[in-house]
Amino acid sequence: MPNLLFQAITLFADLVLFAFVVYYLLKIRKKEKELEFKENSIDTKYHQVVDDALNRERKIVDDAASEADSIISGAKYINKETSDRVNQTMQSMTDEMRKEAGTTADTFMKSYQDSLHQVVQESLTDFQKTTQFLTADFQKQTKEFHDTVLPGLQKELEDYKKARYQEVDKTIARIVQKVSLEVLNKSISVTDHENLLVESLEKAKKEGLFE
Amino acid sequence: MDNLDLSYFFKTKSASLDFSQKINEVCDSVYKSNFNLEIVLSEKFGMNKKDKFLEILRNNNVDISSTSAISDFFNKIIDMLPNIPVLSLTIAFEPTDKTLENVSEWFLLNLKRQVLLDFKIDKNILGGAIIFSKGKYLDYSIRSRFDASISDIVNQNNTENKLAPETPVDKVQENVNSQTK
Repeated sequence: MPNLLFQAITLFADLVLFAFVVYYLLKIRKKEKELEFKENSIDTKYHQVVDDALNRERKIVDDAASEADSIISGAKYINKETSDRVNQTMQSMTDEMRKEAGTTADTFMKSYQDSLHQVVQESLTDFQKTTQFLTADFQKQTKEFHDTVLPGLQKELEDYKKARYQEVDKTIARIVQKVSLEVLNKSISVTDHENLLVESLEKAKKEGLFE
Repeated sequence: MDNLDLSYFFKTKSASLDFSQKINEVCDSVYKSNFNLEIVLSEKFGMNKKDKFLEILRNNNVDISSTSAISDFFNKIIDMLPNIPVLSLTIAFEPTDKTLENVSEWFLLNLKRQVLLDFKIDKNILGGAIIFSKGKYLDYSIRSRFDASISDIVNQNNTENKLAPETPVDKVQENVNSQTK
C-alpha cells in the first residue's frame, strides 16, 4: 500500500515535471520565433540603412570629386600666379637686400676704417706720450744720478785713489827708509855725522834761529 | 862775568846740572873751619878742572883767601847757570867728546857765547840734526830731505797718472756726462 502511494506521488511528480518541461520548451520556442522575427526585421532595416548610406556616400564622393576637380583647376591657376608674384617679390627683395647689404657693408667698412684710423692715431699719440714720458724720466734719472750719485762716486773714487796712493807712498817710504837706514847708517862715519851736524847748525844760524 | 865761559866744565844740559850740584857743595863747604879751596875743587872736579877754576878766579880778580869773595863768585856762577840758553839737538849718532868739543867751539866762535847742548839720539833721522831752541823747531835731518824727495817723486807719479789713459770708471763717467748733456 504504501508503495502505491509512493508510486502515485512519484507518478504525479513525474507528470508535473513533464508538464513543466513541455511548458518550458514551448516558451523557449516562442521566444526563438520572436527573436527570429526581430532578427529578420533588424536585418531588413540594416540593409536598408546600409543601402542609404552607400547611396549617400556615392553622392558625397561624386560631389567631392566634382568639387575637387574644380578646386584643383582653380588652384593650378592660383599657384602659377602666386609663384610668379612670389618670384617677383623675392627678386625685388633680393635686389633690395643686396643693395642694402652693399650699403651696410660700405658703411661698415667706412666706420671700420674710421675706427681703425682713430685707434691708430690714439695709439700713436699714446706711444708718443709714453716715449716722451720715458725719455723725460730717463733724463731725470740720469740727471739725478749725475747730480747726486756721481759726485759721491767720484769722491769715493778720488778718496780710494788717494788712500791707495798714500798706501803706496807709505810702502815706498818704508822700504826706502829701511834700506836707507841699513845702508846710510853703515856708510856714514862719525866724522860725516859731525860734519852734517855742523852743517845743520850753519843753516840754523842763517835762518836766524840763534838771534 | 857775563861772558864767562864755562864750556870747559860742562857742555851739555845734564853736565851743567852735575856742575851746579858740585858748585853748591863747594859753596856749602866755604865757611867750614878747615876749608881749603884747592883740595875741595880737586875733590869735586879733579886736578885739571881745579886748575882751570883757579885760573878763572884769577882772571876775575877773586881773592882766593877770602871765603866771602869765593862764596860770592860761586853764587854768581850758580845764578848764571839757568840763564845759559839750552839747545836741543836730535842727531843720529852717539856724540863723542870730540863732537861735544866741536859743537861747543862752533857756538863760541859763531855766537860768542856758551850754549847748553841737550842731545837726543834718533837713528831714524839718518843724519844731520833736528834743532829745537827758544820754541823754534828746525829739521835739517837727512830723513826730512829724504822724505821730501820721496814725496816729490810720488807726486810726480801722481801727476803722470792723471795724464794716463782713462780707466773703465772714467769712461763710464764720461758716457754719463755726455748723456745728461
